[in-house]
Amino acid sequence: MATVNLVPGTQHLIVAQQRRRALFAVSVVLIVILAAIWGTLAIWKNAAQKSVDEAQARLDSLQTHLVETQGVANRIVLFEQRLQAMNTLLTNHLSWDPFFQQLEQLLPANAYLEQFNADSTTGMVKVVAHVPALDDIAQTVASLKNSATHQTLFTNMYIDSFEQHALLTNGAQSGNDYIVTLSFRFDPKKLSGQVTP
Amino acid sequence: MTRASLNAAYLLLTGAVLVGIALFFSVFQPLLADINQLQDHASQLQVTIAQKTDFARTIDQKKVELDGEAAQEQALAVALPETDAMEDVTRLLSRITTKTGGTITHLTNESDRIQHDLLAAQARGDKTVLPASIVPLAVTLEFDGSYEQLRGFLTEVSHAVRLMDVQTITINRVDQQPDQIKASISVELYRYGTHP
Repeated sequence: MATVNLVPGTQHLIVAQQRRRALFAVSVVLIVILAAIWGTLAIWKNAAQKSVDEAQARLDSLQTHLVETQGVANRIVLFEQRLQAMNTLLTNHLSWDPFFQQLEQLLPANAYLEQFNADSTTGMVKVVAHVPALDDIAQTVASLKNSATHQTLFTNMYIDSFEQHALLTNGAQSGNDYIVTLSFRFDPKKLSGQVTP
Repeated sequence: MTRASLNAAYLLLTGAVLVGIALFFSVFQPLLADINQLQDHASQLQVTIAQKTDFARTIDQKKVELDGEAAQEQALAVALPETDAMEDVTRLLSRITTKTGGTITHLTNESDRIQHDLLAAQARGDKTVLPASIVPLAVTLEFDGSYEQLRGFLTEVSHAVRLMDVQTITINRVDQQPDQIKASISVELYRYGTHP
């Protein structure tokens, strides 16, 4: 059957109207999306700012606490540094007890000291002793001297000199003994770190 | 229907798109940059807070420990004081002498000499066993008494509350008095601090 266009342009107007509505709708949706994005970003920024402010407030509070505890911190640092220094000093702290104990034990009973000098910085010892006979000098040296079979603190034993000495009783000579001068060494490290104050 | 009303939808859409583009560059991007910057700043602050919290916690913990070790802290302050406290040394040596017998007949403060020697050694580049935070002090004293008293004196000095090291000992027998000796003893002691 043949169709007749009773109102020319009507179809065109309907399509145009529908397109216009669609375009309006798209525009409105676009505007809403833009507004939503703006709003979301603004809220996000506020939240981030709030987070920063809170963190800053907490940091300020911590900083105040740390300033208040500065005295304590200084006290702790001083204690720890002093303790560390003390440990180092104690490692090198000297006790002469082992030295004199060995000297007392090893010096022959018939020998006695006239003069004695020991220096822990150089490890040198100089002794002037009286012994009754020449043989006793050798015995004194052998007794004091460190060896593989006879462990002592004293090494590098050296006889500097000896001389005969007159023994007087009531102003009259009653006999002779010998004055011997000995030099030897010891290791000061063997006297250190053995006692604590 | 007018031509303007026909084009209004197109104009509105075009306007919305243009506004969207303008907003993207002028508002959204700066906002995103701000947000990123704030988040970075917040992250850095959180790291700093964590470090400072740890530090504060450590200090609080150590303070509790230190308060519990007040006696040791006091002992350390006596053994290694921050000042020369030579009057305390004199008093201490006097007590030791009283306890062990014997007499100190002479005492010389050698601190200036030993500090000068140390500085000279450091200037030469010599190795020193002293920590940098320690200033050495020294006294040389003359001791009269018996050998046993001297031994007792040396033992007490090595165990004294103030850290002291006997560096050199010179002993001489006293003529006509077989039991008596004269000793010259150099003692090194220390204070915590830096060289003057």
